Amino acid sequence: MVLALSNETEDKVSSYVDKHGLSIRVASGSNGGGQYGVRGIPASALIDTKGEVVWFGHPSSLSSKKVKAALKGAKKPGKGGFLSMNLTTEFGGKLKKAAGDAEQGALGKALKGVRTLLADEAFPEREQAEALEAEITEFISLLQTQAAGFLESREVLTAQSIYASLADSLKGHPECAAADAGLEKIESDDKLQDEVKAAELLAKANEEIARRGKKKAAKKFESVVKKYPGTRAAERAEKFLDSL
Amino acid sequence: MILAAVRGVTTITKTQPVMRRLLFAAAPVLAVAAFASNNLPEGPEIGAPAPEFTSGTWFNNIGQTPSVASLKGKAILIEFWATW
Repeated sequence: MVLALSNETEDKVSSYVDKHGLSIRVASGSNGGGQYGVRGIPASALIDTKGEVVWFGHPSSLSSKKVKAALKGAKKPGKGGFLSMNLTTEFGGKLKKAAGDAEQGALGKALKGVRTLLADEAFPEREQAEALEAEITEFISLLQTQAAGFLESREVLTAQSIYASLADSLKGHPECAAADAGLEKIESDDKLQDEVKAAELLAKANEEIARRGKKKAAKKFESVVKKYPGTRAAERAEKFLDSL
Repeated sequence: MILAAVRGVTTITKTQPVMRRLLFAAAPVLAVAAFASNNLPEGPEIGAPAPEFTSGTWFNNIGQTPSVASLKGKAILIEFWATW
């Protein structure tokens, strides 16, 4: 996983991310530079699957050989995208299946599995099962909090995608209610719907950059600004147009 | 080229004893400076557990907050950067 850490303010980083349409994980206000003894930027650190630093230096001097070595034995990303959990403790025995489901992003299936085991009062690994259940439900509430945050900052398309994935995965579980409510809120609000449409149009404009270059894509960005003024996507499109 | 440079230096040290004395005087200072910069670590220790870090706001992240601990079992490439 690639992480870009800056110690600058949220405003500065946010505006840079918008302007350049960055899609990798970026953090503001990070103490990483100090923790890693960075004296000049850009600098990079490579960490292997055991959590050990295997390389540090200027990003241009990193070889693919080093990266390949660090990736050896790495857990594959779960099929469920952002629903996939990275469990840091190992669950064996009868819990292995549910833990595997959680790592693949099948959260509803994982919950069902672990709850079925817990329903049996004689189940021996009760403590571990409860720990796994707690980890899954905490992860679900984290995603719900993040979706609400995205809604708050008018990243409606992202919020909608989180709610929809959760609703789909959690069907039949009590945890599904909050996701359903979030989806309904977006669908019944005209302003939020405009945000969704504007964000979809902006995504198309961004695809156009790859196909035809920045200058030719400008028209698409202009249409986001014209059609959906005042939306988050229009603000982003304006920042992009300013940078041309 | 290298020979010429060496010859240049010897000429200077031969013909300009003042410069020679100056270099002599500066030598302990230079040594201290080199020692000090050796003591300032650049980068983390290779082969040691990766230092944990905290961050303010994450962009483009959905799900668990990235950290050394939460990404155990995966390889991580950290890029230290700034907008300027």
